[in-house]
Amino acid sequence: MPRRILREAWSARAKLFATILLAFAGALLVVAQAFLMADIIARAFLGGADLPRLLRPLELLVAVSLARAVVSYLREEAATAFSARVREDLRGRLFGRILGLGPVGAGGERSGELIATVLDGVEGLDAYLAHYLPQTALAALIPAVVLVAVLAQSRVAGLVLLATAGLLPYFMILLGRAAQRRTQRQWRLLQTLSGHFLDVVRGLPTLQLFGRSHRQVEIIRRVSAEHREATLDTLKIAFLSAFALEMLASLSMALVAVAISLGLLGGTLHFAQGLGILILVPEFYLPLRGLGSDFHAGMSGAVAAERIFALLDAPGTAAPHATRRLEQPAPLEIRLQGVTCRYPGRPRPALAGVDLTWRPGETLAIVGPSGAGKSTLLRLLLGFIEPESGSVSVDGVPIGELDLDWWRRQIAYVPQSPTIFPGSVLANITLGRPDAPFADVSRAAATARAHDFISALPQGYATVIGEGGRSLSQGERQRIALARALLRRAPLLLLDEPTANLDAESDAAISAAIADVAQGMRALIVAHRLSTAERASRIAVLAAGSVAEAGSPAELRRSGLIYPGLSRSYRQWTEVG
Amino acid sequence: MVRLIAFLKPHRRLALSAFGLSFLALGSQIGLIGTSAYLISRAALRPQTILLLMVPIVGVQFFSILRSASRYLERLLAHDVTFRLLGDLRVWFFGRIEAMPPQEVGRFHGGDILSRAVHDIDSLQDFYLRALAPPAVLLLTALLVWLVLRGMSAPVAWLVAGALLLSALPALLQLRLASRLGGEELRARADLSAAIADGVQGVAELLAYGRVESYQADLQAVGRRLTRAQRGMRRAGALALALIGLLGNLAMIFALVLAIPEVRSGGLPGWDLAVLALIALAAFEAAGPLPQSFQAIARCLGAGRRIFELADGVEPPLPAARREPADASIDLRGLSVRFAGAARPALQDIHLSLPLGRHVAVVGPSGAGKSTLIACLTGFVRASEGSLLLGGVPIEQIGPDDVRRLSAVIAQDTWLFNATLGENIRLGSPDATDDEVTDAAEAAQLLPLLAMLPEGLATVVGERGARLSGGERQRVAIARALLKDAPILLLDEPTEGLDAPTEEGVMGQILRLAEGRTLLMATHRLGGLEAMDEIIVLAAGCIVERGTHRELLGRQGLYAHLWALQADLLQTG
Repeated sequence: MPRRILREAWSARAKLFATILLAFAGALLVVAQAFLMADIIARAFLGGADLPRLLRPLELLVAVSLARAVVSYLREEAATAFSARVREDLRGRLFGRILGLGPVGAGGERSGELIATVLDGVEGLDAYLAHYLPQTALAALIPAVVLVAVLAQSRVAGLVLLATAGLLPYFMILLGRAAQRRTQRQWRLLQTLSGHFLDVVRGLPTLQLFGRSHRQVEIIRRVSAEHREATLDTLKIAFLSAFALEMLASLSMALVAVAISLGLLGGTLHFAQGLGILILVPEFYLPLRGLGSDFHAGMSGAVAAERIFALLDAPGTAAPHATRRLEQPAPLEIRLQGVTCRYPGRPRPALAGVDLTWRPGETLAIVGPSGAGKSTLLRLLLGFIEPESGSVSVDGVPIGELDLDWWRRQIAYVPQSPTIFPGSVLANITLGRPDAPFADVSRAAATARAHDFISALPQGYATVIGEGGRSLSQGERQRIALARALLRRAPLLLLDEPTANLDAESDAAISAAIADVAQGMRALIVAHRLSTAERASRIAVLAAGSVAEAGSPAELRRSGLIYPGLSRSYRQWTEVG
Repeated sequence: MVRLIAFLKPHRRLALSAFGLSFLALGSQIGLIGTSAYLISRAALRPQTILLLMVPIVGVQFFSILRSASRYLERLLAHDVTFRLLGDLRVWFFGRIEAMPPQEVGRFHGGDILSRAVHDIDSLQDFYLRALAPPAVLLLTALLVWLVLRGMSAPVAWLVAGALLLSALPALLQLRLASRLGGEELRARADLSAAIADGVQGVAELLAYGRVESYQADLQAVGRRLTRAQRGMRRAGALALALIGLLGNLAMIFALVLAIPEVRSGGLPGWDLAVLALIALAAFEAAGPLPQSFQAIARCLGAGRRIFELADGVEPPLPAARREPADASIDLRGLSVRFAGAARPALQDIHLSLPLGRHVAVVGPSGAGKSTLIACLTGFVRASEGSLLLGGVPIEQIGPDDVRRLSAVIAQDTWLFNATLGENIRLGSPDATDDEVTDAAEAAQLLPLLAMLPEGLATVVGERGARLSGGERQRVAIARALLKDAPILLLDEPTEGLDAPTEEGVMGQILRLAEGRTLLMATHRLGGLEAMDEIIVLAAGCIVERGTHRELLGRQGLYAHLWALQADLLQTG
């Protein structure tokens, strides 16, 4: 896992190296400070030096302290910059990945999880990148610098450090491996528990409706207590490695002190050397201890990284390479021949052997019961999914061979519940033609029955809508999306008609707007209303993934098997059951 | 702050032990370093016999073991306190909102207020470990250092202890710098979250309209705003840490400056010089966590304030004389509901009488007040005028549990818990047998789904029932309500999200079950209402029409208009 993170962070390596380099400089300053300090104390203690004679080295010591402060500030700055860079980069790539998955891979139930990965997952890496990762480098670097400095003064003291340092990884491995898996599991459980509590709190009205809320208090108490005991049991082992580290550190401090004393007694060591070593011993272990306290950062970082890499590695539709464009004006006759489509993980194909032609100049209505494959048909035409077998062609050219960007420019698309992006009304309408003159925008809005309510907004077309801005009703969103489609000036309109919300007034406005917008373009409408379907030049009835019947409205009304049954006014759906 | 500390009270012995151990660990660290310095200073003087050094040698080892052991125990105890605190806070908070008057709970429902509160509680668990303990340990360390050093040199003791206390200043400075950026960080994070969510939800439109690249660029710009704010905050933290480190080093240097003349004048034995300097350095280890602790305190105070506001915002319900409703009849007399801040009343002057067994449908455009009417009957919304009688007793005088015992509800926002399908259905009647649960599932047309799931009723439904489709979730809610054997059925858009054949089946089951019970059903689907005893047409909170299906159609009013719209719909949902 750390190797993978490093690989992903490679583009920001300069900042990581700066962090490590500054840490190295900090370690050198630590060594310098230790021996300067030892020298001053030795000269005052044994050399009988007076304050004025020690002023120079004291000034130097102040300078070293200042330098340490500056270096430590810069190190943190570099580490933060490193983390920020990597996160920005990952965020961009992850979001690109999601867009690459398209509405089929990114939509529906998975979307919440994907959003969480891009936002919380990437943010969860911060502590790992800014602290844990540099800390692992420091844990190797600083002890090495200190060790060299100590060895240069006293072989015995150096050997003590070396011996304990040699023991450390052994201890860590022995205890760490055993504890790590359990801790990781426990840590995840902790997250689950928090999620469970949120679940219960938000479902409180439901619990109350069923008279179950009193009992829940007891359950929360019990689960919390059980979880506490289980976690503490795990921590008893997990903290043992920290305990061993502390123990080793303090015992070796004691050993070094004794070794130095013996060296001083035997006259093989000067006091200044001995004191310098003593000051350095805690610094030897400090980065290792820091590694322990960044443990949580490491844990959550690893969990977050798993999610991120899973998304980065997720198989998605390959980037389209086709570049073919049709010469304009092209008739754009669209023909589906024996098209079968299947979503991964679903046993039944969404479309099974569909044959359908959408001729130039024809308004085609697609109707059918839910699950018949209507949305799949739209996705197919938009190039969001590819058929498993059969072919979709435009003027005889398979869609797969067309330059997808060019092909999508031929289409204005209105989904059933359109997305309003955070920004102004104007920006939302000009989504497909950012440079459209305002006259065109307001004309499109007027046709879509949106101009009046937009003009009534406090800042008109400049009003900020979407999340954090003014909220719009479903009907208002619909009409903005219609204006958006109209302004696109594409030859084809793909529209998924909204199902009614029985808000009599806005329903009527939307129906009228759809009728007007569809009049100016060649439209393929997934119709949910009889009146919309009846206005089409041809209706195709989808049932269970294939075209069950097709024809003009009059034909289908007369001799269709399914179409008349879809309409309540024909069937007089009265008694139930 | 005081109230937060009150939560620690039940665990004060544990907390104090952890605190004591933490202090002991720091104290022995200081002892270890001081003794070591003393040891080598004495050794440098080459004493006649090594025996003189035995005491410090033993001392060094004693301190080293004491330090590790107390640190280990302290960690365990501190985490124990943390988990206990978290558990207590959860139980307390849930108990508080559970006991709130129902209309208040309804007010919180749906918004982000509750998830924010749960998040706040999670951050309050840090209160002891990260927020409270470090400053307390620092204070005690300053005291300890002062006591130890005073025996050697009073001015040095004052200097080091004073410098230790001064290290609060950089921490405060950081808090000031960071708090300004904290708001921008939150805003940028919210914007980023919205941009990501809209981008994911609107991926089809971004692709179809060729706006992928520009949207990505916008998103990156918002992301950079976030990292910029974060970096500013980090800078403040780095500055505080650098200043505290500098303060420690300067304290050590000035301790030497003060002590060296004392050694010269013979007031201080020379071997104490190293002891003084090393103790000064070691003591500053206690100041390191201070910036983080101050931030944690600020965070906990904010979280605590929000939590307490939420929990205290409402008076607990008056323990009014609890009366039992005589039967399951419902009587609304001039009921009006006005929500705070709303321009018009949500319901106005509603008269409705439902003796046991009567079936009434409430129809009308969205926003007409249908759901509010249902919520009144379950006690989640209280009348501002008029009265609502259940079994002849005003609803205010009946205990909330008794109110809810009378009715089974299928609401639009029924919550599915992240538990198994069976557990979710069994919520309707905890003591139901497996057969009864299966029967309810069958009545709600869930059997085909169960047959498809390898684990059947033991399938975990995921957060908010995410593993089920909208229609399946609704059917679980129906099964749950059907399992609850109550005299009144309150249905709010019961067939929302179901396709036509399933809708017919489910409605058939519901109507069969409703025989002999009272049924009040809010719906915007006008099918199957011929069998209703009465249909009420609501618009903007008022009853604009009422009568049977046939009567209403004949009147050519709003109902007839809605019926025509309905007739235009194809069965494609």
